[in-house]
Amino acid sequence: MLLFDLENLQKFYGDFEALKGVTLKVAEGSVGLLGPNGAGKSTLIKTLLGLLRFTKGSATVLGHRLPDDELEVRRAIGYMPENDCYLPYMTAIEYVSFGGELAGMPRSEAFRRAHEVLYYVGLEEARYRKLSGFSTGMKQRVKLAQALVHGPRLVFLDEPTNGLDPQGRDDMLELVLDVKAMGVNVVLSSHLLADVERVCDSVIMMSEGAVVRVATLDELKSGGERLFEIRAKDREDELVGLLRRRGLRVEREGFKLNVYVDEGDDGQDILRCAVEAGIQLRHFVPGELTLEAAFLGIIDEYNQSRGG
Amino acid sequence: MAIHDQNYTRYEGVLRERGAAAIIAWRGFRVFFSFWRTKLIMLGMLGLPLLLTALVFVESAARSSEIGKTLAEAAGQGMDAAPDAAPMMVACWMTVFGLGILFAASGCGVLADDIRYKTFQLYFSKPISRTQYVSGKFMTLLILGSISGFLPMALVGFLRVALFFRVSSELGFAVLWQTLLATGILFVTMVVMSMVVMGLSALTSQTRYVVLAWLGVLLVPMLVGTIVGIALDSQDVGNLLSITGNMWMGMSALLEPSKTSQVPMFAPFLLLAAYGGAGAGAVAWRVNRLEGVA
Repeated sequence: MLLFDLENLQKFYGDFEALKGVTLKVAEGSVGLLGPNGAGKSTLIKTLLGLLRFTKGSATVLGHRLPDDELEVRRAIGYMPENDCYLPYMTAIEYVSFGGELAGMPRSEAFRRAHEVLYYVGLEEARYRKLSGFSTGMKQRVKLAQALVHGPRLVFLDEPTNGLDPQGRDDMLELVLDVKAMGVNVVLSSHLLADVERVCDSVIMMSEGAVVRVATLDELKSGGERLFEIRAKDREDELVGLLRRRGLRVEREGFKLNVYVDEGDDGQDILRCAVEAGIQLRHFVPGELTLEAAFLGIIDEYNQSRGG
Repeated sequence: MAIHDQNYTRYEGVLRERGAAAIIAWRGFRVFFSFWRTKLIMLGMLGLPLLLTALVFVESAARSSEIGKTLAEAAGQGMDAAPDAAPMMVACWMTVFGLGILFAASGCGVLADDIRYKTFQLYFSKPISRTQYVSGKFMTLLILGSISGFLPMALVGFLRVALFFRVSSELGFAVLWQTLLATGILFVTMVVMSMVVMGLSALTSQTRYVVLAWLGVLLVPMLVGTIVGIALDSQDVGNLLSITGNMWMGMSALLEPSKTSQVPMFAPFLLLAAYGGAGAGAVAWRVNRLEGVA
């Protein structure tokens, strides 16, 4: 079954087009939603939850058509919003069991299950404490608990590691990985590419309300390109100019240059270029493409194509 | 805090549509009831029905006794004469005033808190509709008002009916009609008040402004009404300005039909409906703007 099947999905806020004809077919698994601020990630999530009515197009989530079956969609989905959304005078157990009841669980079951998920996310000792006294990490966990309480088939996690220290972030991602391992589909929206890289199998990249690329992580990281990390003894600027004139993508990273060549290329072009210009190379090694590099490259390419 | 070794297990039970409005209402009531101020005001409000209960027993004893018969005859009334509606009206008026204070202390955050703390996102990520959400919030205030004011008053009223039935069935029916009308208007007023509180609460995320606005809606028209009443030498016209005044006028029109009024009988009901409609309008405005919040 497909997680989403979207056809030319458009969403307007007045004259502003927040989603520009998004067409997507996403298979089950864990998907990362990437994009700069204002790319339309949150709008897409809220549209898929049925919280926002799209202006045009058609959308099916887990086999349920939107907007007709929006309640069915939400019954099958757990949502962990980016920002805090709790009444500070509620206790964790009240908050989570309330979420379960709203999802349609019988009261006693919701209460029992709230204990279970709070234990699972490591908040068993804080179950009866008021949410106003929770730390950022605890708040993130209680939000995850309420998203999981009714046993959803798909969870939307909007910046789940926001504001967490490294240990807290690691714990949160471990939880998400564990949830994923139990067959729950995960859609992770994050600006932390390392989080997406750790959790997701595939990625949807968005920019300015449009889907720029949908690919698996491996596809994205290879991206039809190969990376070489080089360092010149001197005349670095001249080398950058020469490489770019040969149509190669070059990025500076500290003292080194990242040069992207075609996938089958062995980098001879780079060496030839340096030799012809009489520039001495001190460092020339194949590098590993990161998601961040791929992301920046793709967004850059997209922006250039829009500009051009 | 350590994450446990225990793996995630999915809930495999059935999820049903289970009256989300009632769930929201009950949870909302429990949240408000968890405040000390709510408990104290509710306890204070119970003083009125307790006092009325005592008075009802005194009234019933007087009706049944020889002294009462003598007093009634001296006043030129028979023992079967229906009792005056004024005490019931005063009791209802005081109950409504108590509800006003209770809503100021605890009900004003009913929607404002959701806007402030963005809990809309929790509600609307679950399978509930906006209508269910609004109904649930409305019912929260109704439960709060009913437990604190309406139900105790209704119980005292029906205790009075039962005691009057012991004197005579004719008298019992007269008091039953009086009680039904009074409790009916009390309920309508409580509904209007709940709608106004919700409407004000829908306008801002700051609960303190809602409290101020609600006290303003409750008290300022009363004061202005008194001034207008004195200036025009017509308390009936002055009463039309406030919720409590309209309730008084409505009760007067139905319970004391022989009394002449300077305003049409439908006027207080129309104005109560206008107050409620304004509240409902504000709620509808907010709920239709939830796109940016949820």
